[in-house]
Amino acid sequence: MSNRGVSTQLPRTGRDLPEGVDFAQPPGVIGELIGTGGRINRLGFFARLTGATVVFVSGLLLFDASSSFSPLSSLAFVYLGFAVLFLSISIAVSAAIRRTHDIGWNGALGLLVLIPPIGFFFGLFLLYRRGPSTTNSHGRSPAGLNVGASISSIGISPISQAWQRLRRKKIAMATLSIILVIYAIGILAKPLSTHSYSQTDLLHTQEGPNSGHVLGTDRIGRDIYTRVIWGVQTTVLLTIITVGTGGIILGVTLGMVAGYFGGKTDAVIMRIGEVVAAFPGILLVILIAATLRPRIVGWTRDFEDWSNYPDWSPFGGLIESGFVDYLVVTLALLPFAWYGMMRLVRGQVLALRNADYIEAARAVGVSTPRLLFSHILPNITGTIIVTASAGMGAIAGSELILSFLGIGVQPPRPSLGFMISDVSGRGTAVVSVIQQHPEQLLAPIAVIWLLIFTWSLLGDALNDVFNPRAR
Amino acid sequence: MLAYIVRRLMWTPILLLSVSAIVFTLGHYGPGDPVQIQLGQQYTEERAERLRESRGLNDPVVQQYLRYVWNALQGDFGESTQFQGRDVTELLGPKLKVSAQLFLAAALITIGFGVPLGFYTALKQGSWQDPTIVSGSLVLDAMPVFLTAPFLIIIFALKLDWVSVSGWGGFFSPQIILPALVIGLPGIAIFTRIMRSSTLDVLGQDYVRTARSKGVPEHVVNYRHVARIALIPILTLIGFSLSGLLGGAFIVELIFGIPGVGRFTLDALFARDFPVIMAVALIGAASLVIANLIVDILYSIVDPRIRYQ
Repeated sequence: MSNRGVSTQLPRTGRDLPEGVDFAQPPGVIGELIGTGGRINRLGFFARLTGATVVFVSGLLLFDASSSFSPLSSLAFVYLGFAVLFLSISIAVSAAIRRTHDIGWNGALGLLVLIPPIGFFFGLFLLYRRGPSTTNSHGRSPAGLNVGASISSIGISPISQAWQRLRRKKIAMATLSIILVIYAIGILAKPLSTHSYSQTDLLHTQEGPNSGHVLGTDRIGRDIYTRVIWGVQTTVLLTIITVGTGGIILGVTLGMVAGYFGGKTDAVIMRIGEVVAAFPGILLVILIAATLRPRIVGWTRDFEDWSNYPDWSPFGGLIESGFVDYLVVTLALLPFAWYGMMRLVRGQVLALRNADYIEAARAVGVSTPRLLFSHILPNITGTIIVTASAGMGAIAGSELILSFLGIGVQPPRPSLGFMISDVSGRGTAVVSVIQQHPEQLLAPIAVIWLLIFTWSLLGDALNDVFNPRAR
Repeated sequence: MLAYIVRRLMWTPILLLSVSAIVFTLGHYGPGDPVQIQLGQQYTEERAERLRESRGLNDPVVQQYLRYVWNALQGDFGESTQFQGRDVTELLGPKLKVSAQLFLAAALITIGFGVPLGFYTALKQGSWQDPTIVSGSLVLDAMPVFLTAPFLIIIFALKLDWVSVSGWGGFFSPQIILPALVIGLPGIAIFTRIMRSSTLDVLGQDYVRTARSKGVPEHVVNYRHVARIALIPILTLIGFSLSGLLGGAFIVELIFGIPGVGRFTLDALFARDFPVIMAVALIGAASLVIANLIVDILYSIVDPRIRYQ
């Protein structure tokens, strides 16, 4: 409440309102990105254009990768690519409109940037022309860099406080950048790979590292470097999907519901969780993965046949795309992923439920969903981030075991677990392999070890950052 | 206290029933026909039908499940489909014994290294030993079994020739050391971390300062006042880490060729031998639940300040 009061005193980028009745809301992150109100200066325009270009390039890369992106249905990547392209264009256009405001013209003129030859010169003109330093009909003159200024001027959110604390930790930033590099490698597997991951070459098997193959070839002549990169993609996507759906969506929602409503709801959710937790670790995962796969393959085939009428389908090639592998592994790991998150979130909500500010919000008549998602959720974000980051390494390890046992991601789709079991023949011939061709075993293991290790270091650092007292 | 224990004891059978129901459903609707697998090459329609009839596989699912539960209560987990006509109990017994010994050895390594290391790092907080040991144990924690196993084999079996590469010789044979190390090493990090933070907690308590100011010798304070209380969270961890041990055991038993439960379960899984899988799941769940119950009761005995409602 008091934050809003302070923010009205600060110079806003919004349209000027009569004295004393300035109800302008801070624009927030989305408003900063694609809002069209107010003015920005030349530097702000340039910064936004740079950002839009970065988004545009990554959209193009996603679009390109979709042509033979094995794991998810390629269609999903086309949609994602479109979304990213659309976002980049929105950022650029909204920046142009606000820059036009700054010059003092009608904002609709900013849409000129969309027309190819004129747009380029108009953009250059917007970069060159300085706006009046006085208030014009679109608001006060923008001051300073004006990029995200309104966010930091309102007050520092817990997340950005934590981020600033995290930035001071050298080890945490190093692990964070390693994780980002590994995830980037996984997402950009296609442009980074030198061969096809499934192409065999029986004339060049079991070769050591050479000029043609950076890490050599395996027993049927496939390029190990390429296979490791695609295996990283499998791990990376699976950790994101599983922690995203199981931990964050399912775990957080159930935890908030259980903690807030209590009583019977709480009891039912907790009892289900206890049953899941009573299974000895990996056994349930293995059991689900082994029994569900044939069913899911069958359903997917039925669905393909059904949706393929008359004979064009956006869902064609679902099985070849590896959709089934992803679904099976995610479903198998879900029970693992949600329980821990649910318990922690529930505990936090229980503690917050009777806090004064929640009671005040309830008294004013705030609806329950709004209370949960905009009053309680922001206060438990720290717990969620810490738990999710701790879960990433564990999920990566479990996926490794599943694929190693041959019930996770199926060949020819590469996965690190399968590569390990492939060279070590289900564990028996490990020693001879590691003595003759160490790179075949060490390359996948080194990557997965680095990933799990950096996630656990980052989890520790995040824990320190979000709970500075508990050390 | 008594009411709490009684309530937990009443909840345990319900928990086990749910676990068995889940496994039974997964097995029943899962892929593969156990009858077909068992008959193999001698498969004919009549034989399959006769076998189904004699096993009661044509009855409704609920009836099959209830029959299974009733038999399981009397210690009869049915017949293995993979090994013709042999009882699951009879097959599983020796494997359980092997795995229990392996787990015990692994747990001894985990606790034996983890707890003292955590205690030591807490006492040395602020010195170079503290971050070194903590991050060293994290390195071990992230190390996949696939890496530690071959490396330990190469160093201790092939280069130094202290033990043989694989095989099983019981709890007191030196062969147990490598597999137990491989299973136990990753757990050290967790024990170190929990012991460290709980020791730090206790070190800040008033009664520790009182003891020091009275002039109680440092080692007496450390071991009698601090260590005893700091060990309490470790109890919970022991209950939970049972579950983690099994995950490692699946792969370690494969690599080292140990005839334990993990390897047996995997074989059963690929042969669709669901009576065996169900028995393993039930025994695993029961031991987990009971271990956690014992831990909870021990808790209140070790620390009289804890009271359950």
